Amino acid sequence: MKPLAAAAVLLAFAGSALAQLASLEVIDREFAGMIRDAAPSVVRVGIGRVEASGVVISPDGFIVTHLSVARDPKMKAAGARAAVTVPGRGTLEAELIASDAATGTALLRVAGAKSLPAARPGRTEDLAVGQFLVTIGNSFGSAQESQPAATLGLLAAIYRSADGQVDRLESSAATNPGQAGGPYFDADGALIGLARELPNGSDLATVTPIGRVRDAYAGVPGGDRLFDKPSTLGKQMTRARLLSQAFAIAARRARGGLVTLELVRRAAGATATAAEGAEKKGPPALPVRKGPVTATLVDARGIALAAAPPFTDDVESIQAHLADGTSTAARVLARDRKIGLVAVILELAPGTQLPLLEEAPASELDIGQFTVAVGSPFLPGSADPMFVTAGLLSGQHRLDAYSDALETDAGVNGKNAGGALVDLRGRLLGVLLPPALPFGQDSGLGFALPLVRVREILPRLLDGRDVERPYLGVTMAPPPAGKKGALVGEVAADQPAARAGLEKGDLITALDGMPIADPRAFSDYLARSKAAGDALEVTALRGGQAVQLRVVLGKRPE
Amino acid sequence: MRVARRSLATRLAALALAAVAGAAAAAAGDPAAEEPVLREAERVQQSLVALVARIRPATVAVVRYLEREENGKSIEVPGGMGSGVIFTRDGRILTNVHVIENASRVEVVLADHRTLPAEVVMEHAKYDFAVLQVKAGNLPAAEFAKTSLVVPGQWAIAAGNPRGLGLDGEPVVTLGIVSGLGRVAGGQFDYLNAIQTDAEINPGNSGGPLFDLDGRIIGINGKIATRDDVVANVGVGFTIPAAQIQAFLAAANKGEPGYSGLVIAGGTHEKGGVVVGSVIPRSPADKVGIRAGDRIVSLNGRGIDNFTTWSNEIALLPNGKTMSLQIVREGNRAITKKLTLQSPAGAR
Repeated sequence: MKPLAAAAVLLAFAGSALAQLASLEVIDREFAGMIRDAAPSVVRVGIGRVEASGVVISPDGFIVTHLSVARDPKMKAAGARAAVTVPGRGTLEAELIASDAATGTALLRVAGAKSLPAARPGRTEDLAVGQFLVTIGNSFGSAQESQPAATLGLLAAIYRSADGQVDRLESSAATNPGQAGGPYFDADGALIGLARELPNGSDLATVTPIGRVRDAYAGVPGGDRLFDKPSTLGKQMTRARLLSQAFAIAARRARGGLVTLELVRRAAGATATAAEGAEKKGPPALPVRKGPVTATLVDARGIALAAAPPFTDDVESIQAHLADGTSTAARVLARDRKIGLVAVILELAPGTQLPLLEEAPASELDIGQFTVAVGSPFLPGSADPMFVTAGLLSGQHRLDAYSDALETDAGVNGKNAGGALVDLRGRLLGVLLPPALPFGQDSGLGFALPLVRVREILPRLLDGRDVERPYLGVTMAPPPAGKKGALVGEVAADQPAARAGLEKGDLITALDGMPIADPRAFSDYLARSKAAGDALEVTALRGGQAVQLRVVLGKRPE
Repeated sequence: MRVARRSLATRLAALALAAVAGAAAAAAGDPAAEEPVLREAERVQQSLVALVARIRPATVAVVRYLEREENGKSIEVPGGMGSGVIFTRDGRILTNVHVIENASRVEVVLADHRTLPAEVVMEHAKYDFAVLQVKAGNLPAAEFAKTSLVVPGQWAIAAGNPRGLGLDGEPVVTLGIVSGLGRVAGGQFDYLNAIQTDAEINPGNSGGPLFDLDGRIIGINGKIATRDDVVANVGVGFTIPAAQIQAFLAAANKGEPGYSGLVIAGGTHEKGGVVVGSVIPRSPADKVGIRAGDRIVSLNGRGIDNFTTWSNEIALLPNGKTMSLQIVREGNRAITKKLTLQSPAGAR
């Protein structure tokens, strides 16, 4: 069939329930099939106190696992054997052949093995940030009496050595204790790396690419037989591979509208130590990124938004690196403290055209659509220039003052906070907010400020004014049954509402002449349209009488 | 008929995919070459959005109130929250026991933003699932998935009320895959046969559904693994499978675990199977002559490899069900024993 004819068939089925059903069924079948094929090569490795994962890389018994297996004191004894649990074959003994600190791996061999199910290696050169990864391993020791666990994520980042070689990968697929040394597969089921470090701070799991493992053990006797399964790529375009490519395309497009901010800090001295000491009190705080941070360009005049936490008092100057490789100085313009964003302004040469991202039409926003969370937290040259996670648009929720913050299950941490939440076409949905307690980071509860709200705060930020949330000093309750409005509860003494004469029991029905249905509409109006210092015309019913009051909004008392 | 038409659509979709394959290989920053890939991905997305629109209405937030003594007076305070899923049109809702236990009052928030009082009509104190009833009709109920067809790698969507985000009647959806089957997790409740998923589950998701891509209930989410004492998702959640819930919903004494009177010595025998440590006198197992020292190697035709598979199999058997046990006695003699599980109260 010619491509044109196929496209016609596609059109004929687009939108039909039948085609939709088929497309989801295919996904299930492909992912389940891929895991079914890859899982037999995944092993649990145990010795001494080490509980790790590994992967069979030759039918005659070579297994790669984590370096910690080689480092365990018990492994160092003469004749020591690690316990290797192969799915369906029970527990076998394996000796240590070699280890390599540079890749964080160890090479084991099951003596006398003949037909172990070996993984099919992929090509490190073909890796793209944003593609799918599946890791399978002994998470929390699950593979001791049961199957290993499979988790899905994206290739979040690629790090390169000085000579440009792929040195290290970062994966958003959940990786947990027991999974060190566990394999990562691509959407075609090809082995592309092994878990090197478990998630830590703002780092997701780091992965040693398979090419480096191959190089490390090329000189081992029998090393020529490692990875000897041919690297075949199915000719058919699977839906899994296609989705994988789509995420990578979205990420690459989004990257153009991001900048990397290099925060030049005063040398760490006595003050920094004191600050760290202070941080240790109270509930556990989320890690604050010290390295370069992500910012999203939101205005042609050179305004970018970034997550606020890294902008501590010790930041002396800011260097902004654009996606096209140019760099320029930048400075903080204003802060929106409550939502946790800062606006920076780039010093641009006259006539500079900034690559602003295309905006996703707000009317097309659907809960359940794919979202890609893109960051640019790397200095030029150290890595492929982006950090990517993906998920769904999980909901739109009340978050602080906003009732329509975009919620996503794409992992958000210090690396992509301040970055862009985009759709499959790389169009901007919102700016990723810094992770905050109690939601945590990378927990699947990430938030972005939608574009409409970005536009609302922009004029104030452009004036160099910090966004201070307005404060009224009242509690609100729903209106009595059958009525509309916001019912005034407690009125704090000597605060804006009290000063203007609002009383407990007043039913607020309009603000600045706009009817107000409920307390939520009340706080939405304030959040969207007002700041501390602004005046507000309040219409209320008091004992059946309409009263008109003028409130001057203040700041929340410290 | 339905099956045949589905497979036709699948085949046609595959043809269309083959057509874009060539273009996709060339796609590297060239918008024209990227377009077919994005169009196909958006078609998948369209299906997901339609699915999510179907499953969110069946998802509810559950709010528990507790009674507390204060200054000699009994007062009612909000005491935690969770999630649930509507499984009958006349208002039956599944949730976890740990979401509603000791409640003085339970409320559910539906996805149509209504808040309704709910009555606890069943609690399974061992396996952590409970049934609520609300007085409402014509509700958007979800169907159960067939647990035997659930496979690792299939996609899964968790829906619920994590951290209270769904209390506004807007359930939160998170996407992942089925990570593994047959998981065992202890604690206050026995999670047996649990389905592991990396769909993000956080405090407040408890009792909420895990859906498959057909919008059917794979099970209800009730437990997560955590790291570093931080109670937040790390990509390991446990789902009570539909088969276990359904088995007990259909049984006479819904909230009771199946009772055989067998006490397993614990651990796995080196030759496979599990060893009977003791048998409770006058129990169903005692009546058919099972003895301490017997090694059980199969249950209802399923091989018992280890203690985990044993625990998982018995968790699917409420009272009234039959156990057919293959036993090795005194090292070599193979015998078969059949017994009917029966509540201790009725067994005497």
